Amino acid sequence: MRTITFDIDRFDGTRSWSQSYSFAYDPTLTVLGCLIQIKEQQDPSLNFTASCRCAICGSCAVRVNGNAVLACDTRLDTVLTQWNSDALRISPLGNFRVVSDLVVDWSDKVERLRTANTGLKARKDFTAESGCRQSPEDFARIQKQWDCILCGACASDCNKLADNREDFLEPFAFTHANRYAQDSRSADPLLHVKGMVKNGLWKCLHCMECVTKCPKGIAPAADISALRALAYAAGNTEGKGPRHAAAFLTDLETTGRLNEVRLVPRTEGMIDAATGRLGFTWRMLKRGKLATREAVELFLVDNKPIEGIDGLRRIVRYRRTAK
Amino acid sequence: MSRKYAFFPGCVLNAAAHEARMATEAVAERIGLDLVEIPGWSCCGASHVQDLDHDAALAANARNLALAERMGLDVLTACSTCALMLRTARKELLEGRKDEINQALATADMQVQGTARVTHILWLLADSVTTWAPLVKKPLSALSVASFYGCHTVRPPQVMTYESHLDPHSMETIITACGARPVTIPERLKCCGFHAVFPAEATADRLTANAADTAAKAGADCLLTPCPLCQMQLDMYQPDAKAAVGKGGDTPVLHLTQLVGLALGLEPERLGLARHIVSPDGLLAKI
Amino acid sequence: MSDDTQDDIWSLSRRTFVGACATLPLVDAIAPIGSAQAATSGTTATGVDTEAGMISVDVLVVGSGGAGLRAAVYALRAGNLSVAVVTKTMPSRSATCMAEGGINGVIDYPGQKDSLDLHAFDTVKGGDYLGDQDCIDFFVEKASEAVRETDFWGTPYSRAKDGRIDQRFMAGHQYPRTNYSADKTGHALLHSTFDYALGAGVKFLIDYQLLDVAVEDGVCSGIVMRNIKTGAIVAVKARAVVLATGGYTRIFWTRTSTPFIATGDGTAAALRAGLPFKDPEMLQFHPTGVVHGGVLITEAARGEGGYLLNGKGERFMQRYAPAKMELAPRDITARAIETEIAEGRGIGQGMLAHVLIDLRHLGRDKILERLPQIRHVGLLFENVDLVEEPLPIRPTAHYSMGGIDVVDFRSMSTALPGLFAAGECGCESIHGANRLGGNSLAAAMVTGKEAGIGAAAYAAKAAMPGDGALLRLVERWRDHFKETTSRTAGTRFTEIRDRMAQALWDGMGIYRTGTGLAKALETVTGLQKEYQTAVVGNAGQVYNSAYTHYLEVGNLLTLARCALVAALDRRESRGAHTRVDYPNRNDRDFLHHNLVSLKGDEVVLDRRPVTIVRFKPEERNY
Repeated sequence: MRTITFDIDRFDGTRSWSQSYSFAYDPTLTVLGCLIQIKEQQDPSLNFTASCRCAICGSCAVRVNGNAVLACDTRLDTVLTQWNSDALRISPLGNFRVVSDLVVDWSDKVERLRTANTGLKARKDFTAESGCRQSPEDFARIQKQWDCILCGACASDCNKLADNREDFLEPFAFTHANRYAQDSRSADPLLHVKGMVKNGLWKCLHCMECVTKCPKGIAPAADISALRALAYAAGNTEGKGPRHAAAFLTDLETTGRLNEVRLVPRTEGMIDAATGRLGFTWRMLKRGKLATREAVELFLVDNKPIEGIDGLRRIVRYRRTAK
Repeated sequence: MSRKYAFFPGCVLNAAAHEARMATEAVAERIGLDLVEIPGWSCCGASHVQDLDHDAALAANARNLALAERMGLDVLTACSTCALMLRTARKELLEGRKDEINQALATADMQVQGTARVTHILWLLADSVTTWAPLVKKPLSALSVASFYGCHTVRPPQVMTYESHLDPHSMETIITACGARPVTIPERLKCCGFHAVFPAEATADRLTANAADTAAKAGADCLLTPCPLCQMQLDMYQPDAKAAVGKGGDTPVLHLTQLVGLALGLEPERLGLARHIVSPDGLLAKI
Repeated sequence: MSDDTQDDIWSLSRRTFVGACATLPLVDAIAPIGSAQAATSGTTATGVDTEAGMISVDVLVVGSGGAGLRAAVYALRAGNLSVAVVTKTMPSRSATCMAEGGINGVIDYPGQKDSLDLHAFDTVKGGDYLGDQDCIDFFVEKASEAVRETDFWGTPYSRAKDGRIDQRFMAGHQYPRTNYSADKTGHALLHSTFDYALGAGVKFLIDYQLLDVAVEDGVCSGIVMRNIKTGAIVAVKARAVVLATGGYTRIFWTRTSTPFIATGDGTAAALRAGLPFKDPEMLQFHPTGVVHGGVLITEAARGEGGYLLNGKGERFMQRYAPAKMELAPRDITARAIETEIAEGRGIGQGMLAHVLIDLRHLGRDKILERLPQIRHVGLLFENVDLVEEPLPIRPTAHYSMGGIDVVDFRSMSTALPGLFAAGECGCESIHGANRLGGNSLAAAMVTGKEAGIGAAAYAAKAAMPGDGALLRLVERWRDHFKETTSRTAGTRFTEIRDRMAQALWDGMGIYRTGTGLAKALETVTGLQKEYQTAVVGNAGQVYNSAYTHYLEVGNLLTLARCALVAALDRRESRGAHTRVDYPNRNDRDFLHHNLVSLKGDEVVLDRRPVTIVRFKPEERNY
């Protein structure tokens, strides 16, 4: 008989410990099915949340060997194969306050979601009595983001949140903001964009965990990117994030190559760059990462344009001016 | 397995990560890889151009792929962000945007088919290990090496399809083939913070310091990474990170091809090992 | 230059951001804002009475599904009242998110042949003439409004080329009037309503389990609830309470499409508070649920052209509804499948017996485009890819037409002043003896709104009630926790739950007999006794989900018993209630609502006539 072991992170409000549960392998089991079986047959004190068990309510996300999955939507076979092991560690979602065992606290997450200014503020030509009009194409544009079931997997494994939650929001919050910003029924897309700038829009590390872990195939990182584009186009051009991105675009259109030397002062401003990065720059010069002459040339004169720069400029222009 | 590739170095290989270029070319020559640099390749956008104008970046990368197609070769990158940007662009083209983007390319008398595949030197080395392992002259048996894959090397798995994003092994295969001992650290699949080092500097400092410190405490002689951006972040910013956070500071960070080059018996200078901020001298003395 | 900030239109004030991120002090935050009667009520009612652990609020909504969220927004909008939503778990986990087909509502457009009158007729007939027709007339008009309102609130509806909301057919309707969002309309409605409620400022108390409704001097004085996170028993004094706690098909624990959390807590509490439970025997069985567990396979699978096959490979609906075939209404199709199984033409045995739904002829592309969700479900639960193979299915308990007796459908009020009921937990009665597809999301949106408005209007004039009943209940529940969780010898309560489910599936399933019902009633009554000494298995205070579930099972047993008593009494077949011993509908003797109440340990039955307006009861054929 093949035996599977779940090593589950337990927490009773005071004490943390790991508890092992073993059970017979069964190919029809999902991770949630295993948890339910453990609770009902071995240990009623094991706590986890579950509701629909068919991947639409978002209740049962947990971590398997440190990686978030939707438990009801994940077959036991899948995780056994992924990890090439019959013993797995099950823990609660990361970046959430843990209430007990695999149960996390959504109360503050709900309040954080509220700061993303959710809910449609419809155009003036629509009323509650008339409803709205929207083309099938415009519906298709937001359809994917509406698949979000607030399972928290994206937030769990987000590298930025793991470091600091005070100046960033959960990836699902950005998805929620973007689906209203992109909604043709919205009176003012910027309503949903402005707050996100202050909520860390430019601090996303682009680690791609949210895109990887979303059980619905949503890419919150793409929503962050789209919000950045809207923000920049509407005038959010100051600050390190926007200026850094602008430097890349400028370089692409000018020479086709990044000018690393100009990048720093462009991003941070001349004074901050000159004063704040002295030690950094000195080390680069000392170790030969940056030759003084080469650096000065790059700073004053820029890279040589690539072969075919005219063609590249035309291509980029074409897209920049296309609707 | 092909021996000839359209080489896409990426911007940093020509500048701050020039040692990665040196090592890649040196290793390629040693193992019989013919890397032909794509004439007129442009910056991949690095996710930053994509933020301001997704489609302009897509079109620029479509041009890069079209240039490779003209050469009749698949693309080899030595930077994970370049690989992600180019592979994402190719995927979008093949999933329905080719005709639309070709309208942009037509303004430069170019067309893209989407036939040129995009691979990474990491995958190539892992796949061809039986070919070059016999060429190892200097097994690095004195070294313990902590792998740091870098986010874009493995995520998202829909685009970076080479291996499991949860438990990849390509680096460990290569480290072992070099004779060194792989060391596993929790930061192995985490982020270095490079893409937000300016707007989220404090976070990047902590990520850098943690990786360096944990590697050292786990007995590793160095961190090893296939992405030059991770290398730049973990190496160039390690002193600042130590100043901010109070840990790390002495952990050398090697490019993947530098380790392979050392095992193949190539000279450290040729591999650009003099250009590191955190000195690898201690490591070099051991071998 | 600082990190990435700009001190202009791009800044929310940092204070606002940080303030919003701080955990809402769950117990302290609710203060009635200048209710009209506050000055004269004798209590200022501005927050926590920490000794008794009491919260005060003007309007309390219990349940955060579609109906509860609508009630909260409309109560808040009435102005000048404090409103809070109490929810057993994170909002957005409710049954609403599982609904797929769509929300009914007649939308006016050029050339429109549909009408409110037709929607009303289809609903009356669909309910086999047990629905109250004045209420249904009200409902269809409000449903039409609700569709436009939800669009305005941001629900992402699928669209026709001219930008109108697109509509589809569901079984039993004369015209396509089911407004939909791909194959996830409930999910779309729930999340857009939740987003809107957040933006409107609705306050949530998350992870609180309803224990009891309090009655003081003949009026509802609030609720007693359990903070699941800490175990604390908390009283909430309220001028008005809206119960929106969902249905109770979880009495068929192992064969139902509904979520684990929908256990009829509000309906059971209302019974304990003295209110009647109307038409409890009317339980809908959806024809197609997966064999292992009962998760729904949407009606759209048949709508897109799927075939139902028995063990012999026959399209057996030929025998039961030759004209409509697989698109006959749910009760007829469910009965057909059970008959095939009972007469030996099914596949497999016992609880795993089934028939097949075959979609292979649709082709891979069509299935991936129109039915991706159910393909996913088939793979997950049955390890079957319905692109390649037929999928085993069997009827599954799906919806509760019955519920808390709502006496005034314009305000959703019950006979207890201050207590309102909305959504699946209430019975007004819109759905009568059988619910039509698309009417439950409509009912949730409509009854939720009307309950919110009704509760707010009541609260604006009502005095803040006294504490007595609330405090007594708090004591009782504190004792209950201690006594219950200290038991070590006794049956495991989950076993009791599973035996209840089996007894009910056998005795009060799709086909019922007097003997079967009586046997099931005896079993359930016995299980209720065994429940009194059952073992919970966890005595901890922090997130004791075993105790949470123990209470849920207790509620299900109570509701099951009521349903059995009513089912026994109804000696006819009507809608979803099929008596093999009384196969015909009997309007002469049974055109009435059953009203089941608890009197101590006894279950008593009363009756109320159905309100007939325009549509005289006729024979129901399709």
